[in-house]
Amino acid sequence: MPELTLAAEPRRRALARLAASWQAAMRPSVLLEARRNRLLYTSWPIVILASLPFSAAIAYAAGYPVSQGPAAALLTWVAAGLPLTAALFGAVAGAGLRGPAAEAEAALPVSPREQAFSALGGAGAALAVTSLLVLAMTFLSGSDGRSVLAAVATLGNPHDITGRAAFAAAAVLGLFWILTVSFTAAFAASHAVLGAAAGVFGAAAALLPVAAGLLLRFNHGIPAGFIVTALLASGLGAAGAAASLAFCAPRAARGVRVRWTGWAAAALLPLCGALLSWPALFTARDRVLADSMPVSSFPDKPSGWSSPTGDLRESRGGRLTRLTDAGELTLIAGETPSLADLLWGKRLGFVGRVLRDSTQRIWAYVIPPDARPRELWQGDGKGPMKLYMMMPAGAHLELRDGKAFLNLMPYVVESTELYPLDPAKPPIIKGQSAIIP
Amino acid sequence: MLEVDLSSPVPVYDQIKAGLKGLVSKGQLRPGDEAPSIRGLAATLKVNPNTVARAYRELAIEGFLDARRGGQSVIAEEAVRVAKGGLGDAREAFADAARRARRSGLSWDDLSAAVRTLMKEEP
Amino acid sequence: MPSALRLDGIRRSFGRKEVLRGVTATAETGKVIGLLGRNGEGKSTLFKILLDLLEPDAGTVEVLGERPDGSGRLRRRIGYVPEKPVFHDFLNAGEVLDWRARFFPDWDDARARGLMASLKLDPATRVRGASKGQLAKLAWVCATAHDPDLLLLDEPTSGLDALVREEVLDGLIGELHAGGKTILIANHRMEELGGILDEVWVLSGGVLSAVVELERLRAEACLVTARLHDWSARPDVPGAVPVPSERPLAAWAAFSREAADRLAASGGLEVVERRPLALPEALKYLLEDTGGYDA
Repeated sequence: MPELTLAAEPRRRALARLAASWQAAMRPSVLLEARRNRLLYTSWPIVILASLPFSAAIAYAAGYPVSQGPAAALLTWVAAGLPLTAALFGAVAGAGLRGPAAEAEAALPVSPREQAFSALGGAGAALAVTSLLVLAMTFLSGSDGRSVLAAVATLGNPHDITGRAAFAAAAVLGLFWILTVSFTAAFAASHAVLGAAAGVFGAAAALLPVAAGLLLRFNHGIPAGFIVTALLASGLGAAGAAASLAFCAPRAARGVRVRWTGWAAAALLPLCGALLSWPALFTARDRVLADSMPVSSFPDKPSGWSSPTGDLRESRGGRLTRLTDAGELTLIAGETPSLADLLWGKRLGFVGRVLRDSTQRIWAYVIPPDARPRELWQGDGKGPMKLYMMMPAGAHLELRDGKAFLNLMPYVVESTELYPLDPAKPPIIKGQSAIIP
Repeated sequence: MLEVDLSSPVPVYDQIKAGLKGLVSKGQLRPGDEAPSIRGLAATLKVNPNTVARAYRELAIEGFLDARRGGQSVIAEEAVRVAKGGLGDAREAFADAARRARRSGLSWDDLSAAVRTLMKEEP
Repeated sequence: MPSALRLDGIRRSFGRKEVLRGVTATAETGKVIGLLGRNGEGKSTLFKILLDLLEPDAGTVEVLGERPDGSGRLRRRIGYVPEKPVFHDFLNAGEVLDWRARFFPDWDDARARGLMASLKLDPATRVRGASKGQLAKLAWVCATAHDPDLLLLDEPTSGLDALVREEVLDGLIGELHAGGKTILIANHRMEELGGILDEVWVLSGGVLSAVVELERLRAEACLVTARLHDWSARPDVPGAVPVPSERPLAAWAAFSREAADRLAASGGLEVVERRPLALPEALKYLLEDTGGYDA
């Protein structure tokens, strides 16, 4: 037992020293920094509050319900305003530390690193309070704001508690990242505007993929993989930003000669999270594209309440595949949506009805997202299907006695426009009728 | 009271010693009086307390001051004798200055006029 | 006792301008040193290096026996009064002291309050709008309340009215009386410190062109006037600097008896007069001397 206490002693003493130093020096510095910039930290929430009646007035003038104005304004604040606030607070605090405040604190026995992190702490506390204020106002502003916020937080899935927690954590870390990068840039350059710019543009470069990935998840509900990446990316980025400040603070303040490689490394440290997030974004996109769901083919199993089984699967963009012993066989390639399409939720084509005739030939039509006519595809199921014909509007694909038919008058019980489909020779549509070659 | 000329080539501690001796000679300070505190005198004259301390140390060695318990110095019984003896140095200094003035071209009349002016300033 | 300050070959540039070009000096503990130099010659830079607020490009520094390491711990034992004291303008004097107290383990609150009282500085005085004299007093209390071993004063009396100047000098003498402190003062008006200084360092051209013991300067500095035979061959003697004169007489300010003797012994001139040079004048001429000289 004595050996254990002996080993624990230096660590306990180091912790006690750190706690004492925190109590003695950093806490008053944090409070002082908050107090020094109190004009900014108090006026900003007032700006936010003032925007609400303003937005209500705009909504009313535009003819929308009045409550939607503030709700929209608050959501904008959460999505775009908080990152900007982080950049603003960080840059002002960072540049301020190099100005007259530095003179006032010059002869204090505090290391530049302690000073910098205290100032950062002050700005961070103000950011936290402002963020909580905005979130609370959004939550309280009414059903519109509340529901959207809840939806975003749960990423569309009310049971996804892990996802919600991870999203929140990634968002918090991301805000801290912006705060620290703005602070460090403003501090190193003694320039507030430069710092804010660095924070905003750096955020775009490094955190955009994280946001995009989370948006993919929200839109398409892909499995949780990207959440972990997002957390790691934000976490690594935040740690990198803090490390960069720890490097820059003593060297910038004391005019230490640093080779340009040193400054370059300090500038790149906060971006190390981005290294993870860009590839991860593309991996997430691939996962969305690969994500498929089973499709029932008539008459094997009618869709509806029974879950479809079978070997046919559909992916986004109207892609039809078949599971074989050799692997997944692409029957219809469909259109591959781009990353932008996926992010903005562009309407994609999808597979409509699929049926198998008595010869196990597969017939399927693909419905394009716009007003183009439906495409009818056919194939034997062992290889890619071929585009058979464009289906006229209102036409229906039917199976009668194990054979595929095209019904041009499906609304009539005893249709007179019923044409059998020969895989080799598609019928030619003339007006309201068709001719079989 | 005690005065010190910082521009003079005479070392400050010497000036302090001479000044105190002068005060005793004129009867303004008497044996048994407490000497001014080092801190107070230094502050008044705007000099380093070490300088005052050195002057007091040398005065104590010469027998002009008695060091008492508690750090305060007191004018000694023999102070008057020591002061008068010390006047010999002042006389030498005056002669030196007169000689230099003569060398620079002042006549005896000029010197007498200067002394008379001084007598008017400080009777 | 180790020296309070030890500087060896300190160099520092800002961009292309080389401000300090190899400053070497030692300050013994307990000495009061006056730093004489023109504006922009590197006094503030030197102070910043001593305070561990700036890293020299070359050379070694030892302050109170320790090497500055950038952590700022050294500043616990140093008191600094900057040329233009700056404080957070939203605080008042008492709050400034309370805030600073947390950073110094040796801070003596009773002493701080006592100093404020003796300097007649009201703790409720707001920093914003405070007069120069009040700021100077506050700076003084901030610099001395933690009983530092080293005091660095940058123009502590400049721009102050006579009354406040007296009070600051009083405080300085009080600190000296406590003993054991080393003080480095940069002051334009060295005359008012003539009684307090032990040594004068002259910072000129980025180096210490002269390190002079004040008592020696006071006793031995003299103005040497001579008839010069050959005006094209004016003797150049270390420790003496030519001063303006009327032909056919040439004059030098000699900073020691040795230098004056050397001047007299050099050929080509006939010394006419040696008269003592008052301290303020001697210091003025010392600043103009860039020949490099130790006494």
